[in-house]
Amino acid sequence: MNQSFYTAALGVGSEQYKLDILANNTANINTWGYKTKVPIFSELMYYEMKGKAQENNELLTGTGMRIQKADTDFSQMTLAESEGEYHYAIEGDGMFMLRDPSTNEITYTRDGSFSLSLRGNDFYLVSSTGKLVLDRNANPIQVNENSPDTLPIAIVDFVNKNGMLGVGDNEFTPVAKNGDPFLAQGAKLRKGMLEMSNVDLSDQITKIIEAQRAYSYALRMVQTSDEIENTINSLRT
Amino acid sequence: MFQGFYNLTSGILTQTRNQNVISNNMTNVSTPGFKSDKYMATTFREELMYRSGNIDKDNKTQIGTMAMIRASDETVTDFEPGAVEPTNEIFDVALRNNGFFMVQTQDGIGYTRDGSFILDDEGYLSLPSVGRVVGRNGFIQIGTDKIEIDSSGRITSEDGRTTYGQIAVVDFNDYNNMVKGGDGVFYTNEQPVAVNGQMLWKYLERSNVDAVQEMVNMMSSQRALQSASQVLKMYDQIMGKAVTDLGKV
Repeated sequence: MNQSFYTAALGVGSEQYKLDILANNTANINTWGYKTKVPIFSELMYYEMKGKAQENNELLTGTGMRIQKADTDFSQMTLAESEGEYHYAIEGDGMFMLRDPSTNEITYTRDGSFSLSLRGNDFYLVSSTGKLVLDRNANPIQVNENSPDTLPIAIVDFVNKNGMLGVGDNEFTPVAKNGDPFLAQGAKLRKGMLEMSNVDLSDQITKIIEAQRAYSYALRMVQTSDEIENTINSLRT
Repeated sequence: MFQGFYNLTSGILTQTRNQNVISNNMTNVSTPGFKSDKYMATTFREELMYRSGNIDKDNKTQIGTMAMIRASDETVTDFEPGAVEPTNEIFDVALRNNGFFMVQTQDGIGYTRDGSFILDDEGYLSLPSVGRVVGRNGFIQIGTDKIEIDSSGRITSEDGRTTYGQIAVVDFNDYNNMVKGGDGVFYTNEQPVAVNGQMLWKYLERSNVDAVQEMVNMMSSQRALQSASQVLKMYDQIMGKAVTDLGKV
């Protein structure tokens, strides 16, 4: 088969993957604390069509493209008032710290839709996925009638949020280049509010239209390569 | 064998290679900083045709030239700048005029217009999977994402107190020697000239592929290939007739 067939097929697959990311953004347009994911493409290697790679690489052609990065857009969105008694939002940079009770794994989120959970004889503050919310000493927060009105929930920040891994449920884990978390200065805890999703619908729709068109171009290329193969195949019927 | 048989085959081969180039352009229609390629074919060597008399074969008269074989020449890259689109990414930059960013790759210094940068594991500004961006004073170590980049490429902290570096922009007199190395990076042996490049922060330059042009090229290339194959079939029939009917034993 021609190289053009595989190049175009790779284009179709990559545009499909981009559509998946955009569809996920659009579906989460009302999810509290959701952060948009932005896919960016890059080219692949080039090869010499004449056969041997010589000093004068004149007849180079490429082999398609791939997703280079799917960054998370951490820009903040407006806060909305919420009815829940244990709903919190962060005004400024920073994230909540959560610990999974079964694996003791620490993740971070901006989704502050917390509630109470009964463990043993005491109530603890947990996130919407059942993970314990931690205070500044990394301990779970116990809630009883002596607790203050605004609970001592820790807000931590990272030197560089670029590249944090999303693990689902609006939660993120840091990688090596994010550094260690430190207590965020200047971020305010707002009780009774939640942060809205930062998905810009007009932007996503434009990107979806663009991805759909690019998908159909690449598909047309696949069909044309196929027709050429058919022509060559029927040279001697 | 007839001369035309090989002539047509060379036509089909070059059209197939043309399709490879067009397919790569079409696929990269939304890759930032991509520059479209154009496939150039040439004739192999033009042969002089002579007419000699039937009896006296000494005085040959030149009739004209005939091109025998169609061969591939080169792919030429079109360096027309693409449109810029705003993204919300902290490390994205787009060049406003001509020029290139410099990145340190495994094969030496590469030049690119793709400004979708990130921080690598040690906090240096780099192009993903390629290498670190070269600033005016070497690599740029940032380590944080609370930065601002102004139109001359200077990277400062948000409060303006720390300057991390300045992104270097270079240009060339002659783009013909630039060779694509994959991942959006060009390589060349020419010496770059430093320019005061203007750039836009949180923007990316889009691909300069014209989808309509590529579509038209694809269609005409496919039809040329089909026409060549049709005539090839006729040659096949002629040869078949010569072998089976005329030379019947």
